[in-house]
Formats: sequence, structure tokens, C-alpha cells
Amino acid sequence: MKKLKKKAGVLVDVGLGTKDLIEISDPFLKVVNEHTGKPFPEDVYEQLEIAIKAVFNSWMGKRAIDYRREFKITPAMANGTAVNVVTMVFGNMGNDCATGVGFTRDPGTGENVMFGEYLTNAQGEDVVAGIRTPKPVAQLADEMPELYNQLEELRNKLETHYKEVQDFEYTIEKGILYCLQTRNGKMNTVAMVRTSVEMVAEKLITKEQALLRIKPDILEQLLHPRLDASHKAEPLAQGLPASPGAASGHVVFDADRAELLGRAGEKVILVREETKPEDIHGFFAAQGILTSRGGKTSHAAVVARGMGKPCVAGAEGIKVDVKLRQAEIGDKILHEGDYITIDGGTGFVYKGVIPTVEPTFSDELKKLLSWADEVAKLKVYANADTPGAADKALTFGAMGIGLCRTERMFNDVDRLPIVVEMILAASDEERESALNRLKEIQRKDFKEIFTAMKGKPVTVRLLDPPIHEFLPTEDVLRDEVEHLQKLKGTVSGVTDLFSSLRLLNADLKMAERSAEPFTLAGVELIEKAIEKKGQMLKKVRELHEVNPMLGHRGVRLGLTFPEIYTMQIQAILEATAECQLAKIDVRPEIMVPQVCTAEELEQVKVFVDEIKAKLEAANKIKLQFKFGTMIEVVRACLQAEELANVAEFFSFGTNDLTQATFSFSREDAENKFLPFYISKALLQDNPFEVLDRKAMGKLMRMAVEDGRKNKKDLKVGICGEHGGHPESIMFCHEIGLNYVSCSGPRVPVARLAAAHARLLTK
Amino acid sequence: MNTEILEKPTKKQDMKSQKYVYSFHDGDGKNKHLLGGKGANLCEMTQIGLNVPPGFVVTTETCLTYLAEPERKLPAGVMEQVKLNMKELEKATGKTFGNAESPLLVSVRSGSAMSMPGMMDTILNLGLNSKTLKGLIKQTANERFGYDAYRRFIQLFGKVALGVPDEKFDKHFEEVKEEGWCIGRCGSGY
Repeated sequence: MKKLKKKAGVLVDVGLGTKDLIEISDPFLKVVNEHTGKPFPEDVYEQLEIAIKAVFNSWMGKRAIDYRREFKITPAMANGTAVNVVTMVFGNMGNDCATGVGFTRDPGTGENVMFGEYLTNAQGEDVVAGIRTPKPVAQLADEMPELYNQLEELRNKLETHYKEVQDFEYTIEKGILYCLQTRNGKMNTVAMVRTSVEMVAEKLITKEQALLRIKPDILEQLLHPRLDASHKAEPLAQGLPASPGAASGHVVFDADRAELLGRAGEKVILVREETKPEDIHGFFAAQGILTSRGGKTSHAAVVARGMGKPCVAGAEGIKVDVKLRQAEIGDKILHEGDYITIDGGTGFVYKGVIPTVEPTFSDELKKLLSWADEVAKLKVYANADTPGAADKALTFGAMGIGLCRTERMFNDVDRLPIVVEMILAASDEERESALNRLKEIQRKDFKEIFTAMKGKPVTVRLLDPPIHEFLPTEDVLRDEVEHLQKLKGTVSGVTDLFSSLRLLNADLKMAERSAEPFTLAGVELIEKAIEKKGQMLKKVRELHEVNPMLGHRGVRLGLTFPEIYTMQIQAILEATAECQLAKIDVRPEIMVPQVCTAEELEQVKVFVDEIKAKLEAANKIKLQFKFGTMIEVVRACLQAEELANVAEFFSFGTNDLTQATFSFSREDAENKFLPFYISKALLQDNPFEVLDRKAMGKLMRMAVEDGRKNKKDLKVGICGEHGGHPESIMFCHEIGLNYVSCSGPRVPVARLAAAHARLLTK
Repeated sequence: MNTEILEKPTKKQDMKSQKYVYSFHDGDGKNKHLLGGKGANLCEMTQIGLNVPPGFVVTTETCLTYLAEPERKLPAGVMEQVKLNMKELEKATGKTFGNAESPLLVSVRSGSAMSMPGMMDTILNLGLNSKTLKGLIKQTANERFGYDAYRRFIQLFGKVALGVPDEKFDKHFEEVKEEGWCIGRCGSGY
């Protein structure tokens, strides 16, 4: 019997006969009686009252509470549920009836075409629950042309009235179209951007509305990976492309296990016949969702789109067997734990892991962000340390570089040895030789970055970390020296062994072989290595600090070892001179880290002025650049007025400033007590993620105001991590900063957030 | 706890005069907090002339008052207002709630100010019982349809309102379903 059912294929309830349906109502009534101990209520008002209460109770049900927690829905946003009592209309009264769900535009691509699915002779829940696989709405034009026209009319009315893409449900009862509900359509980011741009072109909404209807954070979804087009993998199965993006992970057949593995840091794809609201925790844990039944408006598809997770729905070739923990696809079997890759943009499912590539900017997004730039007051810069990163930042629309960390340039494999040589130098000559080589490298880097960013400011921060960060740790060095000592003993031993063997038996074959590399030369090499490592170990011990965060770093290091900053300034200004001579419009800005007194800044300025004077005289040009300071220690905020005498710009380093304001070390705080603090409402947010308006904001505001007292047109920006977060950007706008600087991929988010800040504070 | 203290006459009066229920013709389409997103929309859609089935909204405030009540009783006056609105639906449709000849059936759905797809429960075909079922069948001249609606209602109401797990129904359903397939296969038609 079971086999027969399986053979018949997809279950269609319409297939049930009248007799079966009559037969089933009695046992159903009995089930209720047995379970509740009371007969099924016959009184219709009693039914209504119980139902109203049940809806109210569901507000405090686990599913609803979980959902509100996950999506951070506070009582201010939604408190309690209403109950809607609506006359039933039936989509299942015969073949002149239908029920469907639709979007006024395609929520996957944003294209301006009606999108949706319907089922003839069915009730609404059948479409949404994905129990039967519905037909695309275009088919209705053939099946019921008059009603299709009415549906198009409804679609136009909805958009004209709501001026937003609508997600609506309808039922056709005996040839009459009823609209059951409509709401703003949930779309993926691609569709949000496209509809924004197109609705402006259609004069349905204004540019401002187009910008405001998109939350800045979701733009990051556009950075979802796609499958590498060059892959040759044959798809295992195909379903409907229900939510775009590609994801790989272990196959998991139920939400609980998905959650378990997800928490353990595993990547999983939740594979279900169909999903239900109680699977929601599995969605959160999964990289992607794959179902074998249901359409583009099934539960799985809707929820995945809302979360921005890839989803392939209704892959009917897959037979999921939860009990056996496997899925049959033709003659292949997928076991739980196997790797698969799903492509929610095409609906293909692949075995194994397929490489993904980063997406590119669409023309629509470029247009939308150009509108954002027109509106925004804040400029958006990127943090970039290399010429390659600068190029990338430009593609994201960066209007400058707000932070170029010179120490990152030191960390390349071929550069680090020179840095180590500089640190270990026994004589001035040795140090100067190393510094000269570093200067050449840096000058070349700067020239490339300046050239890439021509016409735009490039803020170069002089060396910031303590010098011992370029050396291995004491433990590592000690171990290495120990190993080398042992190796030296071994090498001498092997040399001895070979000469002994020759003495023992001159004919022995082994004696013909050379003892290379176990020769005296080898021993010498090892001795040299030991000496070098020994020097490094000595230096590391010398440089040891109890608290490096607050130790010998930044401008403190720059002033005590002036040759490093001098070298860097020289490199920057030589690159500037070269560019200027080549008629390239360059705008370097030299930035000094960790400054807490105006005197520190003045001292560095002396170096700058000396080098500038020499270069200008030698090249007969006037160098164009700015000189400024980071504001990342509390004292700098309090001394802003004095610092503005020397600095032409300020840049808040809000990572360090947050640590200083709270006296928290970030790692300790985040690993040990911040989660507890937040769960107990001792702090509302992690201040390293969300800029602390209350206290640090006060310091920042004061620094901006005081600084501009002295220098009205003082340029002020922010280059900490907060520079890419919409809420913090709003604050930066409020206190009148000129720019924010963030990581390259956050630039689009920041550009839109900067526009929002302007529009929402008007 | 002494419940009499809670039921002060003045409070009772206040509660009775409060408006708990809005018809789709009256509700403010912009007041999502009070009517929920779906309810507000139904009001708005009705008022801009779309063909929406007649209905009404019980407010979110009613929900909060109800949930705050330890005995989980609907505030006094709610059901009276519901009944008045049901009378309006009867007028609009020409059907009567609970009537064996021409029964009015309704759906009961949740809807909060924020969209929470599939997060809360919906009951369909409410108003069916052994008597009204006959009327529905007569109305539609479709016995199959009537019984299908009835079994859907028993199951959904049982699950959502009375907490009967789905599996208990599914067991019976599977039995009949398999027979049904057999009938189909044996050539006696669907």
C-alpha cells in the first residue's frame, strides 16, 4: 500500500473521495473529545471566543517569543496581537475557484512583473504551507484570462496606493476575486535596490523615499558569494531558486540537529521535505535551506529571503527520509553529514563544496549610492593599507583613504627581515642602512597608493604599534634557540660519525657519500642562526612591556626613536614630490597616533617641516599635504583646542578611545564579561560595536567643538571600526564630522547610512 | 488573591465602554499598533475600495488586557462588541452565523504591528458544526467540499485552539488517504 502511494507521486488532497472525507470527520471529532475530555464545541460563539483567546495566547507562545527575540522586536515596535475575524471565501469550491499569493514585483530580482503562485480548487494555507506545489501566476492568464486581468488591476491599485512593493493574498470564489491581505513585500537586497531605482523612474516614489526604504546594513548582503562560474560540477538536483546566494555545508535533516551543529561552528544546510514555523531555530543555524516540496512562497522561501540566506525550494527529485537520515536523489543517496552546495539564484543543488566568488556592483546599486552621495553631508573614506586595497576601496566608492596603516606594510615576508635588522642594529650605520631600504619600499608603496587615489585624500598614519610586535615572542625565540643548539650537536656528531666510518672500513659504500650538509660549514651556519636568534631574544627581553597597549608605542616611540618617523615622513613626502612633479593630483595627510599633548605634535611637526623644506628646495616645488592627529586618548579630547593649533585635521580612533573611556581591554572585555554585562542590562550594547553616545560621544562632541574654536575649518573624521556602523554614522553626522572611514566592503553601507543620517535629522 | 477587589465597579464600567472591536469600515488604516499590520491593512484596503471579504478587528490592547488577567478571561464587553460586528457581517453577506440553512463562516487570524510570517496561528472555517455543515453543503451543492471544510476546521481548531497534536489526526488521515489511493487506482475515479 505504501509503495503504491509512493508510486502515485506527489500527494494531492483533491484525490480524496467524498466518502473518505465523510468517514474522517467522526474519528477527528473523537480525537478532540479524547484529548480534551470534552466534546468538540457545537456552539459557534463558543468556538469564536475560544479562537480569539487562542490567538491572544499565541502571542506568548514559544515560537512567537523566539521570533521576536531573534529579530529584536521590542514592545515599542509590536505589543500584543490583534485578531482579525473575516468572512470566509473559498478557493476550494470547484475548478472556477483558486487561491494564490503574489508580489507586485519579483522579490528575487526586483523586476517589474507580477510574481506569484496559485492553486486551483484549493485553500490559501495549501499555497503557503507548500503541501502542494503551486503553478506560476502567468499560467492563470490562460486558465482564467478575465480574472488574470482583474489581478493585474489589483496589483496596480495596490502599488499606486501603498507606493511600495506589496505581498498580497487573494482567493477566487466562483469567479469573484477577493483580496485577503496585503503587506509590504519582503525582498532580498538585490530586489530592494532595483525596485527603489525603478520606482523613482516610474515617479511612484521620490529619491529620498527610495533611499530611506533600504536599511543600510542590508547592502552587505549584496556581498553574498556566488558560485564560481568556472566550476564544472553537474547538478545533483534542481528546485526553485527561492532565495539567492550560494552556500555549502553538511546535510542535516532536522532543525534541532542543525542548531546543535551550527552552534558547534559547523556549516550546515538544512534539508527538509518542507519547513514549518517550528523549524525556525534550524534556519538561524544553517548556511542555507533546501526543501523538496513547496514553491517560491512556501514557508522555507519566505523565511530564508527574510534572513538573506540562500534557499532552494521544491526540489522534487529529492526524497527525504528523516528516519533513515538520508535523501534519495535518483540512484544516489545523500547521507546526513555529506557536503552539498546549493545555489539559491539558480535552484541547482550540487554534491560537495563548490568554490564561490564575490559579487560585483550592479548599475542600480551604483545609481542608488550616487543619490546617497548627493544627499549625504558626511564623506565616506575607506581604511586601506596597500595599493591593491586602495583600488578595491575605489570600486566600493570610497572618497578617500581615512586610514593607511604603515605597519601593515612592514609585515610582508620580504620586508620583515629588514625591520628586524633595524630593530637589532648594533650601530647607527647598520640602523641607517636598514631604514634606507625600508624608506625605499615605503616610498614606492605610497606613490602607488597616492596615484591610485589621485584627487582624493590619503591619510597615512605613522607607525603605531610597539616595536616588539615585529619580533617573535620570547617563548618562541627561546624554543628556537634550544632547537638550534641541539641541531648543532647533531651536526657535529654526524661529521664525527662519517670520519669514524671511513677509518673503520674504507670500502664501505657509505663512506663514499659526502656528509653534506653535515659539514663544518653547516655548523657555522647554525652558529650564526643561534647568534641572531640570541640577539633577538635579548632585544625582546629588553623591549618587554607589562602593558604594551599603554606602553612604548605611537608618537611616544616616534619621539624616542626619531629615525623611524623621520624615515616614514621622508618616504611620504618624497612620494608626494614625485607625484607632484609628474602632475598627479595627490592629497596626502600625515597622521600621528596616540598623541596626548600639543607638544608631542609640535615635535613631530618639526621633523615634518625640516624634511619639507629640504625637499621643496631640492625639487623647486611647494608640497601639498596636511598634518594632523589621531584623537584616541582621553587627554587628546580634553586638549583639542591646543591640538588644533598644530593639527590641520583630527581623526577619532574609536577603538582605542573606547578602551580608554571604559578602561576595558577589548579582548578581555569581549571574552570575559561583556556578554554577561549585556545579558544583565548593565550595558545596553558592546561599546566596541556600537559607539557609546552617552560618555564617549560626549568626549567626541567636546573635542570637535573645542578644536573648531581654534580652527573653524578643522577637518574631523573617524577611522575606528565604528565608522562603518549606521547608528554610529548617525552620531558622527550629528556632531558635525566631515568624514567616516571604514573597511572597504562597509563603504556602500556607510554611504547609504550617511544619506540616512542627513535625511532623518533634517 | 481576592478577585472581587480587581473588579471594581468603576473599572468594570470603563472596560465596558471601551472600544475593543473595529469594523474594516471604521478602523484607522495607519494604526498598526492598535489593529496590527494585517488588521490595519484590511481596514485600509476596504476603505480604498478593494474587494475585501467583510470583517472586523479585535485590538492589540484587548490582547494585552487579556494576557495581564491571571484567569485569562476576555475583558467584559469584548464578546458583546464581537456579536454586534458579527451581525454586520451577516447583513453584508446575507448569511447567518450558526444557521443550519445558510451558515456564515469566518476565519480567525492573528496580526501584530510587525510582520511575523507564520509565527502565530490561524483558524479557518469557524462556525461549522454538525448542523451548519448541512447548510454549507446545501449552499454549495458540493458535499465533498463541505466535508473537506469540516475536517479541516476540526483539525485546525483542535490543534490551534485546543492543543490537540497534529499526529493524532494524521494517523486517521493516512488510513483514509491510503484507501483513497486504492479506490483511485481501482478505477472508481477520484
